[in-house]
Amino acid sequence: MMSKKIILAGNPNVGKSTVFNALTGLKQHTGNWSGKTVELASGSFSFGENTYEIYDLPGTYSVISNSPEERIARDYVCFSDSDLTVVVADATCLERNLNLVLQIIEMTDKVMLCVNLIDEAETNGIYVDTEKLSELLGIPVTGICAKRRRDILKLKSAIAKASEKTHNFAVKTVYPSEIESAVSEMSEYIQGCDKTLSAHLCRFIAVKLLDNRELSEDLIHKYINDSKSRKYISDKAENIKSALAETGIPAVCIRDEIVESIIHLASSVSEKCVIKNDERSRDRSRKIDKYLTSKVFGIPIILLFLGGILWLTICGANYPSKLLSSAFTMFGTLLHQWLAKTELPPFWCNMLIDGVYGTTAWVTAVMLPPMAIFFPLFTLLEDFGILPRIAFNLDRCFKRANSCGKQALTMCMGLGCNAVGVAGCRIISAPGERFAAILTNTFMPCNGRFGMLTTLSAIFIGGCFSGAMSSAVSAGFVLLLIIIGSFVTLTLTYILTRFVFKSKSGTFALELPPYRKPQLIKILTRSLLDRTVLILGRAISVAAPAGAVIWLMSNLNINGSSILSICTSFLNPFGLLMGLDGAILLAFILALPANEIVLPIILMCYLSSTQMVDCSSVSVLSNILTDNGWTTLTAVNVMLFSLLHFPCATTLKTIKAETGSIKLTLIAFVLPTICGIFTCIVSNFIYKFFMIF
Amino acid sequence: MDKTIGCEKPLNALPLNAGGYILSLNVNESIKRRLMDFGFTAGNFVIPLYKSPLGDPVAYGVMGGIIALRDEVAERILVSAHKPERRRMFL
Repeated sequence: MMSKKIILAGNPNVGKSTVFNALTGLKQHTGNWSGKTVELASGSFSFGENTYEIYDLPGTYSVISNSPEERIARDYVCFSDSDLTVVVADATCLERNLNLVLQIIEMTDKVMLCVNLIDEAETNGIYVDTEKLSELLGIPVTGICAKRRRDILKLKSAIAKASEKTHNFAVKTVYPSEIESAVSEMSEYIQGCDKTLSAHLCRFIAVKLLDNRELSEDLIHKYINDSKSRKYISDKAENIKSALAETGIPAVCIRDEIVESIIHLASSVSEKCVIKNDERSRDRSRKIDKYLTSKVFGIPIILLFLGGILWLTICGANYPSKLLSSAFTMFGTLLHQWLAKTELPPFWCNMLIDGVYGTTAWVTAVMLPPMAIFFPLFTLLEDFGILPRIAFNLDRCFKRANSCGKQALTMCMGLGCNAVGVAGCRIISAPGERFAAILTNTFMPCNGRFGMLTTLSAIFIGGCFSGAMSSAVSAGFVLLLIIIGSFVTLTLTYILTRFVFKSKSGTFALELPPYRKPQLIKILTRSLLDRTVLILGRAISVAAPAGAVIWLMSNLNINGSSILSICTSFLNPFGLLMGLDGAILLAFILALPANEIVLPIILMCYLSSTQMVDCSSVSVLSNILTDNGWTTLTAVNVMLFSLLHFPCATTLKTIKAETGSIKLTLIAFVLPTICGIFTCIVSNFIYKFFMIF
Repeated sequence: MDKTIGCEKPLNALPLNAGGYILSLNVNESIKRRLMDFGFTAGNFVIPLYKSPLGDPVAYGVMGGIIALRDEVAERILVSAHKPERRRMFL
């Protein structure tokens, strides 16, 4: 009974995480575009008598370059003493995938290849001869479709077998003759220092020494033990490099030659093992792309998709929200009755039910239905492969703002939940652009703010019209708010990247992977469990204590007035300046934990009620607001401030985690708030100005 | 489609669906690494497939995959109609 350590490597977007999940049974979110998984996940499975621990490396295109993900992958493969490295490749795009395979073969002789997406390849008329591939590469090769249970079993068995031995006959990448002689010479010196090192390892260290990489230093530290030998090797390497430079290959060209040799070997192996039956190969994806990226249809289709998701979310969530709301209210009354029978004093009963339960119930009723619709739909787009096309289509706009198309995607994620959007900014590689995207993500109204925006828009904007016009106009206004949010995002991104982070435009090189059939059931379970439940859980954990605090503020009196009303009057002057009032400002401040509770707090202040009001009735809500001095202007300013104000506590926490900087988190708090305050004051003045005429 | 190109041209000058073989990459070290990782190396065949509706970037087919590159990068990649000889001798 042994435990073996297995590493999973591969290009981004080859279904590596699907393979990982299938092998380990762990739930981990995947998406059909590169840059999604950047943390190291681990899990295990048993086969036969042994346990296999698997580590899922970030997807990388090579292990020779120097991005953070590639360094992590490289270090794991070279230094973690694993029993086997399994490289996962995409059968529909094998040629480029072999580049990484060959690089890893050079690093370690404990490798096997798993060719995934065999089913997609077959649909596209591509056939991969895994036996020939195994023969040419000199390592075990297994072809699978990660969705099929029997294929996963086949893979487990192959892993078990391959981890038992090393492979001495793995293919050697042959370099141009001058470099080959240099490598052999270097290899001999290294072998001379330590006879126990394998020939494979000596060759690898020799190549890296010529390659000019910091990796070579780490390797020498690990494998050559005394400092005299280390100095000897380094000196010899310098001599050999100068000799090469004299024959016309300067140091900077050595790596180019090495990389080119690997790529040419990859092409020639692929040519012999991959048979493309007909031009069907790329037709399906290409046809879809021709429409999605066409001048005429491209951008409208994107707007249609995103608009469609938003519309379905809002409409679809309406009825369930109302149902949940009434159900919770009924349950609340029951709770009152039950608790009344216990010995618990009324103070505690009311605080627990009206404060804690009431707030939590409100948040759930408002948040759960839209999220249960938005996230599965968005995940569907992700899995299908549409997201990279959106980044592709919109890149030019973002280039003007000194950012890249990928920011469009983080903004879309922000529409679901800003914390998810901020975490998603990892896909943007240039640091300046990434920070700008993180700091501006909150300008996209998340699901939590949507409820209030649509309600207020329906009452105060749509309410000015009647019938079908009413809902069209109120929807249009919400769309306008999103456009304003996007405009502010782009402007601030430009300012931040140009003047604050001073970053030059990063290279935008994006892979457009083939469209894949999304697995509907998996999407439903994954997005419901991973995202919806998780985010809801987080929101409840902040809403519950917040509810208690707000109830206390409302019911504890100092000198005859509640703390709530004292704060409200204090903030009132400033609120009026912004076209709002004290209650509204206080509500926004207290809603730092979760945006959903802004409206309940406003109502609590107005009604001076000591309990949550059931507002499943829109007309009741409308009356309460207008009775307290709300006009259309007030509603517009509230919506603008909701769009442009500090992010919620969870998002701030995520920002701190992603940027690692308290300074940036503070800016993330202050910047949107200043925008919001400024916008509201301006809008207030413009309105009052026109009112004079 | 006209597939004949004369001597060297920058990649962004190729019309859609007309490909060429890469001769050289005139970019700084880190961008070169990225590009070579994707398969943009001397000797490889690359073909522009479609443009973004706003004109930039352009999606190129290379080594079996599709990679989108911005104009200013594609401008610095030289291609020609004929496959270049490998510059070095092999044993």
